[in-house]
Amino acid sequence: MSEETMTVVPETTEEIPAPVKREKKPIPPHLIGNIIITVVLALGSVVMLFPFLWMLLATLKPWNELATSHIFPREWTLYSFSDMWTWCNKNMQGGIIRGFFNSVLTTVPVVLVQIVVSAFAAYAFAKLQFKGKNIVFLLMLGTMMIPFSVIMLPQAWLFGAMKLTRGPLAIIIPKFFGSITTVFFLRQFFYSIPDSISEAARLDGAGYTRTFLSVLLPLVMPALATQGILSFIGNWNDFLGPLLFVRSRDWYTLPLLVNRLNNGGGSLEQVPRTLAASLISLVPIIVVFAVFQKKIIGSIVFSAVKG
Amino acid sequence: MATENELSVPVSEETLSEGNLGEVSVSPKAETGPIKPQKSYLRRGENLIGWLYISPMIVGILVFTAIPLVMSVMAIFYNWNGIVGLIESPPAKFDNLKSVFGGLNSDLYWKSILHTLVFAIQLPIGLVLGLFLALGMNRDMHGVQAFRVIYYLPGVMSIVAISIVWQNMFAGDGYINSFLTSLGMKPFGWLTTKAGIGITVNLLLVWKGVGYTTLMFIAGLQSVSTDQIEAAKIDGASGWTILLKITVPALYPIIFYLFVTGLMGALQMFNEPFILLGDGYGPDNFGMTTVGFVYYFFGEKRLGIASVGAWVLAVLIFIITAIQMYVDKKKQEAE
Repeated sequence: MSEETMTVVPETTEEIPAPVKREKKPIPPHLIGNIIITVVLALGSVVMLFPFLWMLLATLKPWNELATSHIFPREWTLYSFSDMWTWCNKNMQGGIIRGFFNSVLTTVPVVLVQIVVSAFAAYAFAKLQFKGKNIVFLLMLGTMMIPFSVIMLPQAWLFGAMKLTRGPLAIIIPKFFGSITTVFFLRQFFYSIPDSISEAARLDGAGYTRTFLSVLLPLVMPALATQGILSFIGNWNDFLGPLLFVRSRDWYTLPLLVNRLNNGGGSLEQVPRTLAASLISLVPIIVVFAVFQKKIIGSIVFSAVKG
Repeated sequence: MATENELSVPVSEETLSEGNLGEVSVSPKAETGPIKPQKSYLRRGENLIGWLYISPMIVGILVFTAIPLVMSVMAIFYNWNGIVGLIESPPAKFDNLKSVFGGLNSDLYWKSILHTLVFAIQLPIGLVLGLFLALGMNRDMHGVQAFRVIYYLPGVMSIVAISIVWQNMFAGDGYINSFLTSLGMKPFGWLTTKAGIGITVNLLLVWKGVGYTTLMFIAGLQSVSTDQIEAAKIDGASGWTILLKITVPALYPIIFYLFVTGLMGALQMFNEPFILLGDGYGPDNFGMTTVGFVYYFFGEKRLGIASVGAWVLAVLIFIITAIQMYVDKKKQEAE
């Protein structure tokens, strides 16, 4: 006992001056500012996240609790998901799984082809010298300002005439021909690669395509991945294009399927299943965003510095 | 000019074919003017390869942009229903143009432009809010990275899913009205009155877009000179003065870029009001934007009228692009 008190005493005597020092030192003004700003931003974050939280919890409550002001369910249920499952199976061959499959089919392989095709063009515009290059590039930039609403209706007729609107091909095939925004973006990256690298490969006897594929493409891989992710998100969320060009219900992508669920009668009972399907349509985007948020946010910073 | 010629003249074809590639960059013309194709063996066949690499893009643009573009101009002068071929359709002469400008559908069209502008009110609001959020997040403190991600999150989410969530939250008997009632307030027709639709759509757009604006401003703030701000602080300038006299002017290029691209996006608004109002246009068609007008007449199988509507929009966008290019050129000249 006595030994223990002996050891404690010197510690306390040493600690005494510390609080005195703290009292003398005022809290720095930037710290107060930081606290206020953190509180304000945190409150804002609640507003930003609230619709997602409400959506998640709404899928876990029975429909008759939706028209109430309480956020958390009184009665927890997964009925919304089972109801959505049966509704989808009834109204679409293959149900929600088919909708998910349609969305994957019209995004993942499409984006891969689109990025590679765009990369070839971006490389040509940045590094190769050929007749008419500048004029073609200007014309391509010019097409970027044509609003989609001008060309969408003739496109719809054209796809119909090509018999593409009965399946998913009308929202797949056009993307196989590359994306101008991706070309524009990747061109900047190819510019930053010194000519000496490709010249060295050429001197070693590699052809243009081999030089491009095995020397230059790996160097712009990070930019390629970023563009792929952005294009995936854009295509996954696309609504107006599929709305116009996919006429067969069996080929509805998730946004179209969710929209159709939403317009299935106008009663409160349809809400939980609609929200359940909406939630499922968001899951891949949430996963992609969680994994690649640094890349996605970095690409915005890049465009800000450029613009 | 004379010096440029003197530099480029001595570079004969023989010196180039000996692998003297470095000579190309000596000529100042190589940076700006069109470069003559080199006869070097390393660049042999480059014309062909270049065109080969861009050929998919060219085919894509010809088939999916150029042909539809020509068709949409022609459609103005036909009674096209979008089912039979355009040229087989009966000609309409100027009927479609007359219908939209002063005729039967004129009222609806100008209203659709007005509605589009109402839904663009969010643009300046989002810019100001984004600037303040960026100033808040551009500090050396804990949690800033998390805030950036959280505020940007709605921006990447499916607009269909988001609009449906908002539709149900703001429905007549939805969460927001139930909440207002529990506070003793009267429920409001968020999606059933004109004012309500205007407020709800703008709120949704600010909520969805403000994270992007914030990130752009944060990137822009990196280029604002801290020395200048420090000097102003020593001179006793207030926070507001620094913001308005130093920070905002330094951000002009980004503000301009965000405003122009935001305006082009706002002019092409369709999804948000359309889905919020349950695949419809709401009371007195208040949810009908200009693209909504185009889509409506597509459904009515009157593609001629739809094309007139779309082309007015296109001309507006061309004018805005021209202004943007002019300002960018001025800026480059000034630098």
